[in-house]
Amino acid sequence: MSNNNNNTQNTNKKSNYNKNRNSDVDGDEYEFVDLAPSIKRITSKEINVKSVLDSIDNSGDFGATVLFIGTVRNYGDNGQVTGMTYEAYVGMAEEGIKSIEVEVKKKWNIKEIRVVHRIGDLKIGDNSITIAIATSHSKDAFDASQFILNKIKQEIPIWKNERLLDGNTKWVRRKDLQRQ
Amino acid sequence: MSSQIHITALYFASAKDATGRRKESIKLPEGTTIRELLLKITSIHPRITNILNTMQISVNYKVVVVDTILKEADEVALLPPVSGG
Repeated sequence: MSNNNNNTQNTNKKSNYNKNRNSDVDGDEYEFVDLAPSIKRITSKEINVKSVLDSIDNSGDFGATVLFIGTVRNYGDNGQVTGMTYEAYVGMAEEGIKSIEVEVKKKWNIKEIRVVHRIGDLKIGDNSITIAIATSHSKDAFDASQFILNKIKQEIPIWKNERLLDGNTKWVRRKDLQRQ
Repeated sequence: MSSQIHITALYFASAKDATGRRKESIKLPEGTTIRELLLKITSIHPRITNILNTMQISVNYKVVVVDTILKEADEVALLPPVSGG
């Protein structure tokens, strides 16, 4: 996979390998940011909810669209939250979300799926994730949306780091997510 | 002397905090398993020892078991419990 943007670096495994190491450990730094245009489920840009919905072309063969929007909340189990930083293993997260979409299409009669997860520094109220599902009937859309969200929370390599009121930061643990 | 392979180790979230880096290349003897790699990583970054048992390990995007044998140019990621959404 080539990288079309000189300001970004691709996490694709082959492009990051450096086979000419002089020592056995070498710590190159790189940022996990937007990659090639073909990768669209993980983004460091603000999620444009209208664009997500507009990308679902309703030709009349589905009767329900459910839109889920996850936003950054100002409190958590660790106290008052002032913001959230999301980090992802972008390539693996992309592949994982694609696999979830395939699984969902086998379980329900899905017409369209759009999943976008934002990474980077988010403010309170910012959208962190958008899931749009179009189906023939509403129950499938609600069920599939909840299924996708749960799978992302449980399986996809994305991590959130709370910025707390006292200035500390804390990685959110799985048990902290049970009520979220 | 046995052949050497080079793998890339990626550290995320609390693993990144414990190692102080996101990525490093590590040279290993051919036939090294994930278990042996993790021992090497803990020798390089002792702070990761306490959280290592909470993590999954992936090789080239696939979660693997510790008996997996590494190959040249593998990308190995240490994945703390996820928390997306």
